[in-house]
Amino acid sequence: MSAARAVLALIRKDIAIWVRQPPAIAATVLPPIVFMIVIFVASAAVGRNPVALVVLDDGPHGQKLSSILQSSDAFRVQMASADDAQNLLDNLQVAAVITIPSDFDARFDSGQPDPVTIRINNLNLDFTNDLRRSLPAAITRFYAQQSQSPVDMTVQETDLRSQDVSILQFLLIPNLVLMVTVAGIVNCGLATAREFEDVTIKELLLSPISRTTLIAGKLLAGWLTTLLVAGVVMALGALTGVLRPTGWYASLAVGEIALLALAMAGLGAAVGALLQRFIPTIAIGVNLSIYLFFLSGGISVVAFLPDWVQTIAHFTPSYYGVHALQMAIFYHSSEQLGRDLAVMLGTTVATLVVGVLALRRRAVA
Amino acid sequence: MSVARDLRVIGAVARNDIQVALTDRLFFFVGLIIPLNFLFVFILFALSGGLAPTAIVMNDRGPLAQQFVSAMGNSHSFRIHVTDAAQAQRQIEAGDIVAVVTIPQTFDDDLQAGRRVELPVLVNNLQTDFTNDIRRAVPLAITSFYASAFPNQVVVQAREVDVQAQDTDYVPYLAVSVVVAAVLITGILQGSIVAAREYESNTIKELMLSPAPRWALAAGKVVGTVILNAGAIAVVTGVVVLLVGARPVHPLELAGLALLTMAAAVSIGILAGSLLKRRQAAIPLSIGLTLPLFFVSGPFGPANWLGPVGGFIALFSPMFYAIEAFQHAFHGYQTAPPSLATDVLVLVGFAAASMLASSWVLSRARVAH
Repeated sequence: MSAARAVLALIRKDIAIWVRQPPAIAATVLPPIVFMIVIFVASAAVGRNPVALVVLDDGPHGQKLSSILQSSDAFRVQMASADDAQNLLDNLQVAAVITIPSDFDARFDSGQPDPVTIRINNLNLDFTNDLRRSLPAAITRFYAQQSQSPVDMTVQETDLRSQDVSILQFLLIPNLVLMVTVAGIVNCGLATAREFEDVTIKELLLSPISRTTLIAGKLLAGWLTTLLVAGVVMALGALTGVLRPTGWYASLAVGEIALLALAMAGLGAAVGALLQRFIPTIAIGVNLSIYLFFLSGGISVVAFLPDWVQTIAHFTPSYYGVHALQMAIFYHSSEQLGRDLAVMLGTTVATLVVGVLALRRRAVA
Repeated sequence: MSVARDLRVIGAVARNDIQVALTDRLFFFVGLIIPLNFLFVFILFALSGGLAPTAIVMNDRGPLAQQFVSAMGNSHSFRIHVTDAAQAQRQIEAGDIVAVVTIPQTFDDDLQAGRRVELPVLVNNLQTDFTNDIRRAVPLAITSFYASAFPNQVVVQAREVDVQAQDTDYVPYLAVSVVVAAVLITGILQGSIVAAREYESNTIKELMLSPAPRWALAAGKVVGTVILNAGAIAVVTGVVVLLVGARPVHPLELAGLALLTMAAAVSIGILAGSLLKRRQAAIPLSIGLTLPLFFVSGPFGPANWLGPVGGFIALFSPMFYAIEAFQHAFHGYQTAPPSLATDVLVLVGFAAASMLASSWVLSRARVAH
């Protein structure tokens, strides 16, 4: 009973300090909002390069290819004359200029080589290869729409999952995890390290409460502020309709986020208790957050990374957090739920133990 | 005389900050390790290259089937490996690959006899970006295959003309953007720490009670922190030049830009630290706002190619101008509509405005007993 009261008192104290610092609240809430805006903006353009299209042939085949290019989801097409297109390319308003030549139809009908020119601003291979793929892909569609196509091979696609997930939805999960990770590790780590730098740890250690109670109090206070970050992201996701888990899986997703936040706050409390100073806590906390974000698929799908990086990813709690949330929110599935929850719970317990051990080593000077 | 006095103040404040930082080696550690890790993570990302890991199950190993697999390999889309059906199924279910393409047993015979071939493709439709890549790339491989196997039948082809004399690999391009991110993140972080520490340790009182002009105090902090960070940024740039292989076309321009960008970043950090007064608030805010700013400032390619909204937001980010200027110094080409002179002017503007704002914050500060 007294331990519970002590934990509550510690939570009240940390939350009161946090609430009295509007900058600390801003530091917790602003980044997820800004990140959400960035994701919304960036995801709208992913995979669609701006190109200028010059059509010099009015014939039916030229017009057909032009209409395929305009409706392609690989391009954002701007129709232009040859001179205007060149200006757009020179001023970096477009990534490439595609020109359908004036003799396109005549060459096509007579079976002669019929090149469509693409002038690419080849600044880097990522964009350049996208463009190198996209025009031939449009030509493929052009042939597929011919009444007598010489290409006599069709793709018989089977999807592994029942529904497609948009890039925006897909990016939100690892970014939610990043926000929870930064809030948990950095905020909770700094809150714990502050007790040592301000020497208020003396009062706490001299009080008649156990080290476990002390770390549990710090962890739970950090957990609550971390949940606020998750709440902001989830609320924005729900308001915009991008992230709306339904039915039982909504509760499951909330539970998973809460558990992940607890694990990350635990990690923060452990790091803060071990290092006991601001600067090293920042160094470790920030780097840990960057790696956990990357290894959980925040920047690239984990399967696309080198094998040895994938192996390391399997040892990080955020990887399992992202997997659990993707399954619950996107696919309404509890696939490997036990494993994911066990890893997050195990991380929480382990960090609690590390935090307590770190405090046991501390003598009051 | 007053100029000489102001310079003495700037020098004294800078010296003081450097001496304080030298007592804390971890300060250097933070300045070095964060940008290096940032660089490492993004290089790993770039190395993954966006190529879809794909398994090919070859139930026919005839010459046309082999030619089709070559066409897939040349399509800039797949990282392919040949395996059997059971292994491919296991890999796609485990999330290790994105697609399984099965070459039917009668592939060569059907093509030679002019019969229709149906190509089974199992897609891990994890998200639309990658799924669409596969949906585009397989038909592309089919047409490329036909164009090489039956050139008289497929006459329409893409003819590429490149604007730049040579392709720039993705890793050297992205590494330059990451150097800018390193300069900005380190500068803002260290600047905010240096400023907030004065308030936490109450040494701000001494500064406030001195007759020195506030702008000189702010300028001294900027100079001191830039000197402290210069070594870390030199190391990160050295890694990009020596290990990544991105050689700067204009090395002197690069050195000048690095100093200017660092000055702008440190000034912004000092303003943030002076406003927030607590490291616990200043640090997460600095990191939390700089990271998203990085993603919208065109690190992967010109920011305005993200669309009108993305391009507009980028105009308000110092990182946007810095990335464009650094890309020019390294690769010699322009990656955004503003000219190099505009980039430099904007960065100078950010540095000056933040420094003036910091001195204004300092001039409004009151010393409490």
